[in-house]
Amino acid sequence: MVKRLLNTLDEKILEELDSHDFELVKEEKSGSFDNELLIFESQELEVRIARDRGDVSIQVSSEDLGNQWLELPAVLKLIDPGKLPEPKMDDLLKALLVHQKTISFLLEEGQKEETLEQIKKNRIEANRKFFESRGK
Amino acid sequence: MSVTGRWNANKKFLDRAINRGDEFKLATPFNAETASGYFKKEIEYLLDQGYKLSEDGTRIFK
Repeated sequence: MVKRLLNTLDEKILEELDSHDFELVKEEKSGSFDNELLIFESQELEVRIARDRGDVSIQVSSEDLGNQWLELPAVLKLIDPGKLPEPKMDDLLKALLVHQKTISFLLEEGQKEETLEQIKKNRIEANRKFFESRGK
Repeated sequence: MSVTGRWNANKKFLDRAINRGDEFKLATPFNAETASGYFKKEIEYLLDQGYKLSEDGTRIFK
C-alpha cells in the first residue's frame, strides 16, 4: 500500500480502511510541492485523502453526490454538532469508520440536499464568527 | 521544498494575481472552523490585502 503520504498516517488506520472494504482506486503524485492524492471506494462511500503543499485533508463523496467532495470534518459536524472533530488525520479516519453508515445516509439521494444546505449554513456561520473576531 | 520556500513560492503566485485584481474561485469552499494550514494562510493573506470572501465561502475577490 501507498507509503509516502501515508507516512503521515498510522498504518493501522489504513489497514482498517482495507478491512472495512475500502479499496484504493486512485493514486496520484505530482509536482514540486510534493502533492499526493489517494481515493478509496467502498460500496457506499468514496474517500479522498490529499496532501496539498504539505497539508493533508480528507473528503468524502458518494455515487449519488456525483463529482462533489465534502470536507469530512464538515460532515462529521452534522453528526455531532456540539463537537468539532479533531483535525488529526488518524482521528478523522477513525471517526469516518465509526460513522460510515450515517455518513452514507447523509450523502444519499433524497437526503443529500438537506446535508449540503446544512453544511453551507454551518460554513456561513463559522465564517461570520471568523470575520467578527478579525474585526476586533 | 522547505516550508518557507513553499510559502514564498505561493506568495509570489498570489501577489501576481493580486496585482492583476484576479478573483479566486475556491475548489474547496472556505470554512474558517475547519480550514487549516496553507489554505487558511492563503485566505488570510488575501483578506489582509483587501480581498473579500463571498458569504458562502466559494469566492474571494477585490
